[in-house]
This record gives sequence, C-alpha cells and structure tokens, in this order.
Amino acid sequence: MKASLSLKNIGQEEDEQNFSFNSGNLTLITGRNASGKSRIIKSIALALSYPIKSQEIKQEAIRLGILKSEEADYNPLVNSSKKLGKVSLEYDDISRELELEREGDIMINIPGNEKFLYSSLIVRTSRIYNNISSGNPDFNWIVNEMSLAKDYETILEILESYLGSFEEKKEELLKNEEKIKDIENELNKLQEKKTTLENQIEEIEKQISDIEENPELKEKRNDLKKEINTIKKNLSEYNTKIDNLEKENKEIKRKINNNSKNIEDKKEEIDLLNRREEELKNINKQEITNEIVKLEREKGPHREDLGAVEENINNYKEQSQKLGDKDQMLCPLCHKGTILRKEVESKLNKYLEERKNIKNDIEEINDEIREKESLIKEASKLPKIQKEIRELRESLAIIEGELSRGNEDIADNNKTIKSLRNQIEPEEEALQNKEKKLEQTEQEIKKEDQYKPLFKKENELNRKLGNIEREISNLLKKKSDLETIEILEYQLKLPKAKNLIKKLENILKEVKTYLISKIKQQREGAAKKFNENIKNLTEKIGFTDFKKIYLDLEDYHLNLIRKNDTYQELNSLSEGEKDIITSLLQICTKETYLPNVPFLLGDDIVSDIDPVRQDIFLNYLKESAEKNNWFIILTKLSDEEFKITEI
Amino acid sequence: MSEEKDIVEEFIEEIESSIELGFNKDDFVIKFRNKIDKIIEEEL
Repeated sequence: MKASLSLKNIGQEEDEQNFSFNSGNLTLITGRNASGKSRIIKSIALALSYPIKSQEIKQEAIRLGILKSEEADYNPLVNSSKKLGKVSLEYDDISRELELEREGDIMINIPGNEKFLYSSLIVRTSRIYNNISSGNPDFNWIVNEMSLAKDYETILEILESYLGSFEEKKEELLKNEEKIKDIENELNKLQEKKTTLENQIEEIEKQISDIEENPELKEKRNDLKKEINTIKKNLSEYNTKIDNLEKENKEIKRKINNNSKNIEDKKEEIDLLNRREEELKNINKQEITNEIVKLEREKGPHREDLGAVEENINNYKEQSQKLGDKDQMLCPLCHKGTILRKEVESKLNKYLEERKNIKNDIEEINDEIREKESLIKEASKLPKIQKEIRELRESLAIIEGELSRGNEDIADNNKTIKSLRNQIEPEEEALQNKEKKLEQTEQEIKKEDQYKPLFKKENELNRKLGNIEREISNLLKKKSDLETIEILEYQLKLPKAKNLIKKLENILKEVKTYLISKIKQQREGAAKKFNENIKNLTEKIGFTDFKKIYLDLEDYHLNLIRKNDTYQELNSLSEGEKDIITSLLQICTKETYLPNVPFLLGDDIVSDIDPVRQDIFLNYLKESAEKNNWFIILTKLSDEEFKITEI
Repeated sequence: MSEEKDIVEEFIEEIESSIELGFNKDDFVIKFRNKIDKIIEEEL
C-alpha cells in the first residue's frame, strides 16, 4: 500500500512538496535540525486526527504543535509568509485534503479520528511521555480516552439524564396525585356545602313562591302615606292658624280689659275734673280779690297794735335787763319811783301774750288771704282742667274705639276659627279614614314584607353558592392541570404517565445495566489487552531489564517491576528507559485501541536510546510495520542532509 | 415484558451501531430521543 503526502506552504518550505511512503516498511526521515522532518510527521498526524473535539486531546494537539492555541496568532504549521497551507494525504483509496489558514481555521474533507494523537504519534511532548517523565503512574485516562468505555460512558450519561428526569417526573407525579387527593377532599367538602346551600336556596324559593307578590299594595300604601302626610300637614296648618288666632284674641282681650280699666279711670278722672271745673267756674275772682284787699286792711290795726306791744315788750325787756338779779330798781327816767321786778315781768308777760295774740290774728287773716289767693290761683287752672278734660275725653274716645275694634277683631277671628274648625273636621275625618285604610293596607302588605328577608337571605346564599362554585371550578381546573404531566413534551394523563415512566425506567435501567457492564468490560478489556500487548512487546524487543510492565486493573496505574521483583518508580527511570517505555506504551496503545489506522509516527524518539536497544527497537517497529501493514514513519536527527529512507 | 425486552435489544443495537460507526454524541442524542419518542407515541 502506498501513501502519498503533498505539502504546500507548510513549515519553512514554500511551494508544493510531495512525499511517498510504503506500508509494511519503517520509514526514517533523517536530517539536521530545522530541515523539515517534524512538519511531515505533524502534517500526517493532523490529516488523520482532525477535527478534534475532546478538550484534552485538543490540548495535546496544541502541545504537539499541530493546532493553534487561543493565545497564538497563527497556525504553527503554516509558513509564516503564506496565508494558506495545504496538506493532502492519500492512502488505500482514501484521500484526505486539509486547508490550513494562517489565522487558524482548518478545513478537512474527511473527518479523522482524534484518538490518533494519543495512540499513534510518539513524541517527547506526548501525554504518555509527560506522565512517565513526571513520574505519574496514573494511566486511567488512556483507558478512558482510548477505549470505547468513554463512548459507553457518554451514552450512560445521556441515559442517566433521562432516568433523572423520569425520577423527577415520578416525584412530580406523586405530588400531583397527593394534591389531587387533597383537591378531591376539598371538592367533596365544597360539594357538601354546595348541596346544603342549594337545599337552603330551594327552601327559600319555595317560601317565596308561597307568598303572592303584589306590588300594587306597596304603591297603595305609599299613596296613602303621602295623602295622610298631606292631610296632617293641612291639619297642622289649620291648627297653627287657629292657635295664632286664639292667641291674637287673647291679646286683644287683654288689651280690651286694659282699655276698659283705662276707660273707667278716665271717666272717673273726667268726672272729677268736671266737678272741679264746676267749682272753679263758681269762683268769683274779683270778689275774692276784694275780700283779700279787705282782709289786708284788717291787718292794719293789728299791725299797729303789734308795734305798740313790741315797744312795750322792748321797754320791759330793757327794764328787766337792768334789774338783772335785783327785785327792784329806781326808775331811770324819773329817778323817783321804784320799779319792781315782779311788775316788770308781769307786764312783759302780758305784752308778750298780747303780741302772740296779735300775731295769731294777723296770721289768721294771712291764712284767709292765702286761702283766697289759692282760690284765685285755682280758678286760673280752669282752662288747663278743661283742656285736660278734653284730652281725656279724646283719649277715652280712642280707647273706646280700640275697644270696639278689638271686639270686632275678636269677632272676626272667632269667625275665622270657626271656619277653620269647620275645615278641620272633614280633614280629620279624612285622616281617620286614610289611616284606617293605611292600617288595612299595612296588614295586607305585611305578607309582602316577608319577601325582603327572604330575598336578602336568598341573595346571600346565592352569593355564597357562587363563591363555592367558583372555588369548585378553580379546583377542578387545578385538578385538571394536575391530572396531566408533561413528559418529554408529551402531555399525558397521570395513570398513563405512570405506566410510561415505569416502562421507560425498566427499559433504560436494563440498558443502563448493559452499559455499565460494557464500560467495565471495555476498561478491563482494554487494560488487559494493553497488558498483554506490552508483555509481548517487551519480550520481542528483549527489554529484559523489567520483569513485568502492566496496568493495574483496579486503578489503571502503570506498574514497573524489575527483574529482582522490586517496583520501579517512573521518575527514577533513565532517559533512555523513559524513551523506550514511552514508545512501548504508545505502540501498545495503538495496537490496543487504534489498530485500523495504518500509521504510526514518531518524532525524534530514538536519539537517546543506546545503539544496541535502538537497533532492537527499530527492528521491532519494522516487524510491526510488516506484520500490520502499517506506515511507520520516524524522524531522526543526523548530521546529514534531509533524507527519507525506508528500512 | 417480552415487548420491553425487545425494546431494550433495540436500544442496545442502536448503541452498538453508533459506537461501531464512530461515536458522535450529538447524533446519538437525537437517535436516542427518537427511540424514546417512538415508545411514548406507541404508548399513546
């Protein structure tokens, strides 16, 4: 079988370069550093592995320098002066075409197998080499990544996600069933309540239907009430008017009484004044004046007598003073006679008495004069009295007029009162009739009023019934919603969903058991095959330093047992041993996991192996190439020019 | 039960076939879902 490789703008070389390889041969690409050996290996590896989906393998590809990392600007394989590189690999009727943009995008016509990078490319930067180099014995990843266990595990994950969702649905289903049960209990209670209410409503409706409805009666009662109110209003007005008139009469009568008394008083006064007038008319002023003049004249002699008496009194008083304490004295005038106290005093008393009498007489005359003068004065009052009499008479006439009018008013008022009372009488009669009719109507209507509480109660019960019906409707809707469940976008009734989940669970659990057994089988089988292969390989290449190299079937750790049965730590291996074991593991991995892809590539893996082992190793590879009809292509550093040799 | 066993067999065949042809998760998810849908639709 031939393989032809065409590279354009790959690595440092520009333009197109063509290479050909034969299967069943070991091909060595030798040359100095930077002579373009590795780009051939890397180009073939990319053509056989791209596209790469696994993140771990993608990292491996970046480490190997065949894919661009996110941080890098350009594809590591494309020539730095070109925008596009091309790789073409043809073998066994397969033609793989790749276009590599410098910016990083890659297009391929036939997808490769990403596992190729783990199994068929031996380089010092490979994951196997890193494991060994770092002393990490954990090769669990080989079993996972390279065996079919990973595929089965992926399927198991998918299946478990379904089982998980069914488990959730089962819980939801049970919850729904419980909720439905609660709702049904609630619905039963509500239904009972509803039935009770409906019975109550039916009973009330029956009661209502028993009562004959008569709206006319109510209208009649309202009319009667209105009429009664009107009559009462009228009566009230009449009575108010009568009251006012009676009050008015009372006031008039009080005034009349007062006026009557006034009239009496005035009449008496007038009589008195009339009599006085008569008296005054009888007084003759001239005559009285004459009498006064006469009286005044009569006073003259009295006054003269009084003067003489006064003189005597003064004389005797003087004598008395002169006497002092003496009983007698000589007459001062004649100086002859003797004046006796007794005599003086007797004379003085006599004259004093006389003076008193004279004064009394004068006073009597004065009184008489004053009386006369008073008469004259009184007589002058006559016009005034006459005026007063006139005024009194006028006033009397007014009062008598008022009295007369008051009596007339009373008469009028009484007449009005009588008229009002005449009006009241039929009104009161009408009122009595209306009230009687109202009472009768009320009696009739009483039945009618029974509706009100019944209607009120019926409304209340209907409202409650409405609420319950709404509640029932909501619950039924809720129940209906709960009665179906969505399973993978299918709406299913709960019993059907239950059966379906059970069925699917049974099926998927069976499949799960199968998958678990397959995963175990794959992993163990892969590891066993790996162990078998590596045993054969170590025997074949005469790698006798180690008694046994194997993967532990429990933890898939790589164990190296020396000839003396001691465990060898990976990081304590020599560089040459590391290279050989890495290559062995890599070839073994390929033989175990990817034997159908006929390419095994190695980039500078034999340089550090001692010449004897190198020969043995290369022979083994050649035999493998022949046996498997593989293309085994290795690069090897040399001092010579770039050269491709088939061994 | 025999019906369920048949379906399990179908699933296993589907799995093996998918792996044999080079396992593609996205494709398999669709196939798996179709198989489940078929069971549900038959049940309906």
